[in-house]
Amino acid sequence: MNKFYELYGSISSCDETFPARSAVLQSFAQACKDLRVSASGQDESATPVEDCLRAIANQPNLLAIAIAEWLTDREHLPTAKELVHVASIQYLREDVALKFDMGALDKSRVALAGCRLCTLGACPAISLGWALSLAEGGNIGESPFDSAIKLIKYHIEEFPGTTLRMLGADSSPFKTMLIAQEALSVLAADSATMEAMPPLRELSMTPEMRLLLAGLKRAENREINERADDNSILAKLFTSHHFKYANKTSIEIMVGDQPKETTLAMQPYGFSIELPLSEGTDPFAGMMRRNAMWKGVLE
Amino acid sequence: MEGGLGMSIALVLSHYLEGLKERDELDALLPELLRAMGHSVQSRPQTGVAQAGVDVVSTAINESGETEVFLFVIKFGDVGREDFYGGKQAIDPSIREAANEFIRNRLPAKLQAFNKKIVLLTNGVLKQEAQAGYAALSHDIASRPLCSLEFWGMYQLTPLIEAHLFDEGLLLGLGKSDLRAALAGIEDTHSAFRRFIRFVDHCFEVPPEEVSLGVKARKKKFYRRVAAAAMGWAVMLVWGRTENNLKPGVLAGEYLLLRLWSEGVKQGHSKDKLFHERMTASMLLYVDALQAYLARIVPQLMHRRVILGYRPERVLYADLIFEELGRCAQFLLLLQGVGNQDALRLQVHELIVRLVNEHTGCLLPVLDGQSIDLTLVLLALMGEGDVSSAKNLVRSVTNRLIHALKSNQYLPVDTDLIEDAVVASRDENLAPRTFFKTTTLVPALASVAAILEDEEALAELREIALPLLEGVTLERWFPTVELETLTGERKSIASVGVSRALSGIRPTASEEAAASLKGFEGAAAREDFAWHGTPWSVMPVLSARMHRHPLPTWFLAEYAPGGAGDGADTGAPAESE
Repeated sequence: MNKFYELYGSISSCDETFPARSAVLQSFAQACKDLRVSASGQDESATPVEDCLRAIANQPNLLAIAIAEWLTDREHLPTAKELVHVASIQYLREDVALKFDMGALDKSRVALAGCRLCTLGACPAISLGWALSLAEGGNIGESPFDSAIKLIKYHIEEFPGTTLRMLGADSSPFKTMLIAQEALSVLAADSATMEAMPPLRELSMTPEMRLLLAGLKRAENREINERADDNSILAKLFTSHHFKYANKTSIEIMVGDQPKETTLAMQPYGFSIELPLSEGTDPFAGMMRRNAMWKGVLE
Repeated sequence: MEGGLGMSIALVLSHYLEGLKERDELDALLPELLRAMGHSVQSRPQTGVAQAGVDVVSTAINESGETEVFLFVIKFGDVGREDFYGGKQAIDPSIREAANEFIRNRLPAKLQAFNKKIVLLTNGVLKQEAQAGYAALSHDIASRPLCSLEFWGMYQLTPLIEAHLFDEGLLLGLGKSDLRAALAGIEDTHSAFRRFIRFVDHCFEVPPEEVSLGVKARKKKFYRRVAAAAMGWAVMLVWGRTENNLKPGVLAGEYLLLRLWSEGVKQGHSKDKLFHERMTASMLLYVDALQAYLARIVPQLMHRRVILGYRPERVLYADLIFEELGRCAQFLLLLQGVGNQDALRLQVHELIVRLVNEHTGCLLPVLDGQSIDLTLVLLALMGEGDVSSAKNLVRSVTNRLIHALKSNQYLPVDTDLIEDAVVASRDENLAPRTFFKTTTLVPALASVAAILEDEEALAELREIALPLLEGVTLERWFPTVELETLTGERKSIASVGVSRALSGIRPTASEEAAASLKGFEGAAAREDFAWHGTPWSVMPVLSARMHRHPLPTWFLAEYAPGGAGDGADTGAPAESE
């Protein structure tokens, strides 16, 4: 049997101790490394590997160990990147920042991993949660603490909307944390200042720009939906209907010789994510900043 | 209206009123003004009909609720001693006729019982020499029951017009409906601006019969047109304030200054003292208008997050930033030529530095044409003697350009079209340099680096950037003299200049500077332009922003550190951050 199935079992049921977790992750990482260098077996192992990664991502404290150890180790970087990707998809819609137990982890590696999470564009629930978790642990040393503060500052600057929402949520695990409260008050003050500003016609878009922007958004939406449909198993199994004029619909289906009607009321559904601010203002600087962060260099 | 803007507008208004003809215009304006003031106009001027001295009669209810009758005796221009007793104006006889003949015999009976104010109205002033005569006349009139004499000259009319008639009703000619349309749609900046241009086109239409007039008469008509166009702009500025959109007024001012210059050169008046005065009045009004505009937008312009809220896409955000940075730089360059503006210059200089530091996306143009705005920023800094900031900016831009060339990402789009820039940034299947066949940025950077004598920056351009620019045309543009009269013509920028494709960048700054300046066949020299050697030699700045053409190298050279060019005040030589 593919060894990744066994590893999946181990990962899902491993003891909640640092040594046990570390051992399981070590085995998995080694198996991934062996797979990369071997000439065959990559195709059939793709799905079980992904399942294992999802199982790791499902457990924040296991995820923390995996990220801290693999993302700062050249040998396991490819696995780390895949894990970050899978975990980011998993936690993309989180309303709060994730809390990680970093007690037993090497703090300088954790700090570097925090920087690299930002370079990889991990979802803010993970990257912000990582920075806050690092800052929360006492006695972590001046340099890791400084990095944690700078990482939080990075999120305030690049993801102000998401950071404000996550820190201000009632269920935020960092609600009582002083640094989080300070960050929240800075963001709330900025937000209040912006809202108090009167809208200026002088700065608004021309009608042509509005049309262009609307067209771009529609194209983007179409692309997302098409790719989602292409990757969807359900879409392959079921017939889909698209309605223009109504939200309450009825679909005719033949059951034997008899047509039957099934009524369905559709609801609007949408989800948006905040891109880094620099994507709109200065993507070049954003890219340079994140590249520097990969080396652990923070502004 | 606040001090500065109000005074500038009053000056423009006074020029306009001076230029009105006695018959048809001043007479036509008065009833409009009276109605706007809430008067009821009882009779209008009729040419050729004896009116016993009185041109317009109106009634109005005063603050105490009483009806007053106004009898207007319209005269023309400044009132001197000779106008009082005889001559064409014959003011004393006219007023006495109004007081005697008109009130007794021609005023409707129902109005007889009210207070009657005889108003001597003119679009000039009451000269000192006529004061005594006026005082005597006034005393005489006041001795009659319910009668008094008032004087409404330039200084009385101006505030009344400002208060009551600041709309298209003030403009009496063909362009009125265009101005009305511009004012009505003032919340849509670009549409209002286009309509203003049509208004100005109408202002400057020369009727065929004018060709047969003498030189002096044609000149007078020219100045009337100038005054009317400036008046329409002043009205637009005031409306912009009421309707909370100052941008159309600012754009209109930028266009008008160029158009006035263009018309002045075409008609041969650009060296006249009066033309210089009118241009100066418009320039001062523009400075005041721009100050008001910046005061309004800068609190929000200083925050990149706020601006991204207005323009939630990179290309659109950059469009706004470069436009406003270019405008600030233009402002500073104009102030450098105006004189006595040290405090304001310091403010604008600081503003530019803060804007560049906040909106770091301006360190590489998204559209190649935005190199124009970047060059203006460099010149403005150099004009303030801030050589170190200018050098830092050149190096930052060069650095980013090199990264862009190496990665084939974020290259300035040569078509200058926002749509193409959007495609270039989003379409992964597009060949890397589809929109990078031409660059004016590199030649501009090379010229400025050479002028700043920055050998290091020039070496980076030459040795690192240049090898990555194979197949790309390095375009340096040189205008012909027709650039001066382009505004108002149905011509494109391509017909008023010639371009050189650079073969490379010279080995030293001085050689590159010399090569930048070297003209060639078809290109005009600096001295060929009418603005050369005048305070208006700064016009290329306005022209570059409005018509979207690069700054000519002979213009850049005027900002060389330590050297003072004609009409360009390069400011203090000390460097400042």
